[in-house]
Amino acid sequence: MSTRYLIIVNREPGVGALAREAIDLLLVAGAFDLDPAVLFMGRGVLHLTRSRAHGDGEPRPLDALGTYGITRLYADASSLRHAHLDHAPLDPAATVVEGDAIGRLIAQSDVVLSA
Amino acid sequence: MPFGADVKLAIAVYGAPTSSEAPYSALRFARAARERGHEVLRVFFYYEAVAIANALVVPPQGERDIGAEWSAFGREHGVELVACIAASLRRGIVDSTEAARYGLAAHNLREPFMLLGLGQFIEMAANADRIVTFVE
Repeated sequence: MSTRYLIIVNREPGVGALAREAIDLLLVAGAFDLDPAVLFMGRGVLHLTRSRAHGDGEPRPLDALGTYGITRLYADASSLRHAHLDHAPLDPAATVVEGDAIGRLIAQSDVVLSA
Repeated sequence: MPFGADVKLAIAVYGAPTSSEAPYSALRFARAARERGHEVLRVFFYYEAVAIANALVVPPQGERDIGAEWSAFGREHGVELVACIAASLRRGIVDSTEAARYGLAAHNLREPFMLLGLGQFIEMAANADRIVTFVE
């Protein structure tokens, strides 16, 4: 069985290098055909709303995930509630997961990277 | 979960030496791991932690020179110290090769650090039994 990767994004989007570098790590994992799952937690869930730190219609680094074959996106439900995004459409679409499911997601992964 | 014997470890460091404990905590962890016989495959510095690899940092007298301490650890234990090349270039840290490539007047990568890409970070994670990340 191939190695299962999970990348956890905690960093919020913004104009600085840090947010961009977090997404770079995702894209490189995708470029290596690792088929990583991605879990957005904490302030990282703000990546899933287009209006945050990005103008509508502007390209975002996150928009390239599909190009890199990264399709398994998850968002922590409690982080979404904390950010008042629990009723907002997520862009890109992500599966919302509660605490127990997050534990299973991590347990099922061979390599967990924080970005 | 405690580590068993002869665990292959990879270490990732994200936090800046000037505003976080990450490089200091990571060094203590790396030393302790080696003392207990574990293998440290590589230490990868990403985000603001690449500042550790800047040879032109001069700490005030009486302050720790964490960059020099990391260099000594790498030499003593034969552990690869890697700074992410993209993050380093963004922050003005270059080796002689990159200085020549971009026509820069000088280079400042601390020995024995290397500049490598995120692909090597992924490879490191795949080859280790455990990857331990020091964020802040």
